[in-house]
Amino acid sequence: MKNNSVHYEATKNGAFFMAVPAVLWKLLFLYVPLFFIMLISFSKSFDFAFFKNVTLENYKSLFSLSYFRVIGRSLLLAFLNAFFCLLIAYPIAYFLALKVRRFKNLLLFLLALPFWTNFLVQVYAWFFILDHKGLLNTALLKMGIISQPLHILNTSAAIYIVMLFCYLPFMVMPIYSSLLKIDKFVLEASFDLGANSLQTLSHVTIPLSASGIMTGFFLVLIPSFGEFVIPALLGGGKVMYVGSMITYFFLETKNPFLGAAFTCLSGFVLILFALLIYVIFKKLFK
Amino acid sequence: MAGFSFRTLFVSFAIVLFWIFVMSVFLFSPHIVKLFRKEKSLTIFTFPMLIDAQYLSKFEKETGIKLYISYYESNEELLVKMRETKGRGYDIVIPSDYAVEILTREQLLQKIDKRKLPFWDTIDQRFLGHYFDPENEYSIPYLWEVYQIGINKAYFKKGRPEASWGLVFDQEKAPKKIGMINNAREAILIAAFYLFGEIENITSERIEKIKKLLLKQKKWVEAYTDLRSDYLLLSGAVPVAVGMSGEIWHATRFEKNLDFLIPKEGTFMVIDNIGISARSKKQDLAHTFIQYLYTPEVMSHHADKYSVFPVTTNVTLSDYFICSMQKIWKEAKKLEFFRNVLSEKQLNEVWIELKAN
Amino acid sequence: MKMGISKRITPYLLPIFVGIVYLLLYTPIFVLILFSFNKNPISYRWDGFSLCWYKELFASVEILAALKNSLIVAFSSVLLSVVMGLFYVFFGASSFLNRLIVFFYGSLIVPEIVLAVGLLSFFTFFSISLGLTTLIVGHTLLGLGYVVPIIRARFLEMDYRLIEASFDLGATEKQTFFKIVVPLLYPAIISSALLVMIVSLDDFLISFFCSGAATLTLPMYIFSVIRSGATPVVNALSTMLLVISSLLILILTSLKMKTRIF
Repeated sequence: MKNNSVHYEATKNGAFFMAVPAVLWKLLFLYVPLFFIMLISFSKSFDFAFFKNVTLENYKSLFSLSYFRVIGRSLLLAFLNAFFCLLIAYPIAYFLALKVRRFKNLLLFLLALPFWTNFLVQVYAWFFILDHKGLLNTALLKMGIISQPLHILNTSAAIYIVMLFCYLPFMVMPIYSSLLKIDKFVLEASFDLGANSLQTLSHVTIPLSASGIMTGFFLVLIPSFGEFVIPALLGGGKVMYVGSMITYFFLETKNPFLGAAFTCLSGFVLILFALLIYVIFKKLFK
Repeated sequence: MAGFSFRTLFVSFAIVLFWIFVMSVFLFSPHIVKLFRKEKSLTIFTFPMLIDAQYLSKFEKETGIKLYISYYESNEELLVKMRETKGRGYDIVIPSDYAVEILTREQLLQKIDKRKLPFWDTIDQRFLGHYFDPENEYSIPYLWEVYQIGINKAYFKKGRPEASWGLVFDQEKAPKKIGMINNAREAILIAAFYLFGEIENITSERIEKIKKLLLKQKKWVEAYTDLRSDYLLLSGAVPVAVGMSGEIWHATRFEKNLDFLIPKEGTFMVIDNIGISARSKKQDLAHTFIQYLYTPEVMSHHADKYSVFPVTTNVTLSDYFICSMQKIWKEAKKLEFFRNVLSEKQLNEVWIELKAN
Repeated sequence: MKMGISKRITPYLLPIFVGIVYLLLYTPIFVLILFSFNKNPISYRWDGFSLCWYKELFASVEILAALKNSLIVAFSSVLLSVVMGLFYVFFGASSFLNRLIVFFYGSLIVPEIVLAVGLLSFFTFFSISLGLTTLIVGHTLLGLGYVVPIIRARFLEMDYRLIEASFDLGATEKQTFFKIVVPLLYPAIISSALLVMIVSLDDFLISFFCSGAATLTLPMYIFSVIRSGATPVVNALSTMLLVISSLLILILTSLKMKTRIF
């Protein structure tokens, strides 16, 4: 008996030995740094005597309209981006999952390809289209649809457009996955019971794909909030979003503490907002 | 059944410690590797458009010194990275004048051995002995630029507009879209210069006025950019853009429709300097590299490629180049530097409010 | 399925919509590739076909160095995250660590910029020199967030009786792992490895914040060039990256597995 338990203990320790690095890695390099950020948001210097230095000054100086505007702007961007992505992604996912048979793999491949290419490259490519003398304006001018070039680049419009197309695959994939799981017989049954396509869609298909919609929505909402690259390159540097603000604090000022406080504040607002959306979703899809 | 014994707990704890140790070794390995491997290399931290990595591969082949080049977009980035790492890991940096002052104050630069640099005599006297390093102990001037207003001649059909900062700040004179500098310090000091004719005595009242001016100006700013003002002009997005000569004058060389103005009130000059990081142990290699950088061929290559003005007098450049350089030097009635007259608090106050709204 | 409303174009509305979206998705890429052959370095005027940018691309010392850095970081991150993730999924199944699975979703819930900034502060505080190792740490972190869910999902679907049988037949845990579990998990391992590879090669934010003196990665180089004025060399580079990515995806999809990431 004793031998067995020692052996079991030994293998249990062996298992622990093998399995623990992954957990440690996450702990050490994700949760500790996050905790660290929270810690320094309450101090003004890198002293070890953290507890003596606790101060709310950083947070106090964040209570100004400018900072709230920045956070609000990012929230709006995140929400609208997720919303527009949903509007456009759902029909595509629906088409791919339920309508297409022959070219499904090809279409999926084509959809995934931009996602797998370098993100910066995608963003850079949009310059050529949206610019003053870019493809869009040249085409529209030549076709006579407009008489003056549209002012898109260096405005929020450019940011929204590019973000929409960059995040679209993130929304399509989860919805596609969940639509695949729907039993076709359920849809047939719906028609048999006399529902038309619109009713089937709203009362059967959409609720059944709710988990995919939710996953996709949050998969777009959360990163969009902290997005830095797209506003920086396409917005003309005219307005700051949360991402640009955090970058400014950490890479251009002597005050990472204020930056940490801002990061925590924005993170907190994001979590609240996400929770709100989650509750609303649950209510909608009960 | 062999569940929760203290022995298991102890062993688990030991295992966790072991892995933490392994990970720490991994993280600190570069330190250890550096102790053993004496690679002949130099790490250069610079602005883009000042050092041509491709061209310098010649240097690598001749001397066997490997060059690692990293870039920063602004002096602020340089300062933050230098402070973070205390200069460890970087050998040569290329700060602008005001950054040199800050770096020497924070003891992040080491003294340069002028005896190893025979080209000292070829440096134009006008660029030595300035406020940021009166004895030039910590920095050697490398290239200089001035801030100009680039214009698209096709837009100004009635002829050349008045060369004044009013062209970008005054609502009556400014076109509907301009390009403006995306750097807090530079934008604020230029605004101060326009409003008050000087950059000293920036009181909180003056800061308020500067803030108002910049916010007002934002209405006709198409884009804030540091290094793409030439692109804004060339693509026709704006008829007027504020930028450094390395961008604006560079654009005028290739596009005949473009021209530059030196504001009559005066403008700002920036001298980019070579400095050696305080923690660098590669003084010999650094001095070899610096010497190479200042040889006339290399200097003229960089000057010509990036349209920046060299500080040495023995450089061979085209006549047009030299004429332009002299013209600019003559035309600028008052040349200011972006001196450290602003506090961090003032900078942030104006810039954040400007960008957040 | 026929639409209830009897309009003749309605059946075609959806395919047309999808087609338009696909077109819009690909137009920037086509333009990018097209202009990589444009002789004119700056504006949008087409000055003639030229391969000079590709020549410059392949001769560029910097791009090669950045590519090398990106590849080193990517391979290391893939190796570390797949190995650690695999070990966790299998060996952790028999201990309480199994319940810590929620941990691993952390990096998907936090915006990457917060991660990057946190890592930066963490490294600076402990005077850890920023460089390839810190980049590998950050990318492995991201990788674990993808590897563990994917492999675990596949592992749970696996027939546990096979493992039990293996133990019954006297195999040690190690033998069971290498001879039974790994081969069965192959598809999940490969697909998560490819995913982490691409995430790492693509990653910009963590590299931007945690980059050291001598470590320029490819995305950082591209960003720097875009911000300071790009020549079509960037277009050429992008085209090459596109070609390589497509090849990688063809491999991925041709292995015919369902990658249940979500």
